[in-house]
Amino acid sequence: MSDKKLSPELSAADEKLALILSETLDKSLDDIDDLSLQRLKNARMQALQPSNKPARSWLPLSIAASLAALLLIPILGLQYMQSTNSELDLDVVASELPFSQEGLAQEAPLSSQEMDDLEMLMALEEIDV
Amino acid sequence: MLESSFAMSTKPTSEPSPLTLEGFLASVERRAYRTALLSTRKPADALDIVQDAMTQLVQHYREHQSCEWPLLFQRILQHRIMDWHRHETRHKKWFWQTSALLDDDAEDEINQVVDERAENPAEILARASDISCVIKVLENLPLRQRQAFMLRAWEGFDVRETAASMGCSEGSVKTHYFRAVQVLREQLSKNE
Repeated sequence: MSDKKLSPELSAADEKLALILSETLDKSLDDIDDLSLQRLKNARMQALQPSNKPARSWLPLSIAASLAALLLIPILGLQYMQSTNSELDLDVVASELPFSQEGLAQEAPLSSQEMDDLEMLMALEEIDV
Repeated sequence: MLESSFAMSTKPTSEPSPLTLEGFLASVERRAYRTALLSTRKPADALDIVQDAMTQLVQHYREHQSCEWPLLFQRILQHRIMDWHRHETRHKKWFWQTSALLDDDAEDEINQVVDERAENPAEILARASDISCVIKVLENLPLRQRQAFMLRAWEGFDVRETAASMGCSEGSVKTHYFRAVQVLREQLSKNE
């Protein structure tokens, strides 16, 4: 440990004290019991296990799933909107068909031949009644 | 410098080559355990901290150059120790307890003034070679001072690297280290 850097903020006596303390700490490493050493080795093996590396491999998968869900929601929404719109269109078409007299009255002016036919039909209805 | 301390801490045993990540971890695990144990005084917690630091290094910095590992590992380790202390602080506050572990530089600085007249340099140096005595006085150091001392004096980091590991300014490192040595000298002078 003699090659460790000397610190400019300490006096020579303090520097010597720090060096001796450092050497004592080095010696203290030999006092670590065998059980702790074995546990340290196990901890190292545990940390180095390949299963630890991709521990968060589910993260990209979850991100992809979230993006897919975000994309699916508008698509499904659009499909729903289109289906409801088509139903509404059918309703509108059904309501605008000229099957009633009001509908007929709102139509474009009829030709004289058609007017004659209509008058005849109405007259026949009155006769039937 | 880091490379030299890395090589210095590697022992010629049957352990894996220090150029590999496994070899690096094998070379630093005992020092890391001692550092964590000095902070926590609980072997199980110290082991957890070391394992967490190893796991984080493997997961996030495996691809980095081997010369970067010592500083990265120490940074992770010191952060884990800080996290442990924060957790302990919260736990003890919750249960209305106080502890000497939680001083964290909050103590009165007048207590750190060293009366050099009472010192016997020979006795201090003799006690500084006593492992149990040294461990005892290091355990009693405030957390930040202990971190600064361990990184500067034991790991051989310079001020900049120590500041990076501790997450503070270089000025703070100098102050913590200076105070740590003063307190250690005082404690060793009156240690019985």
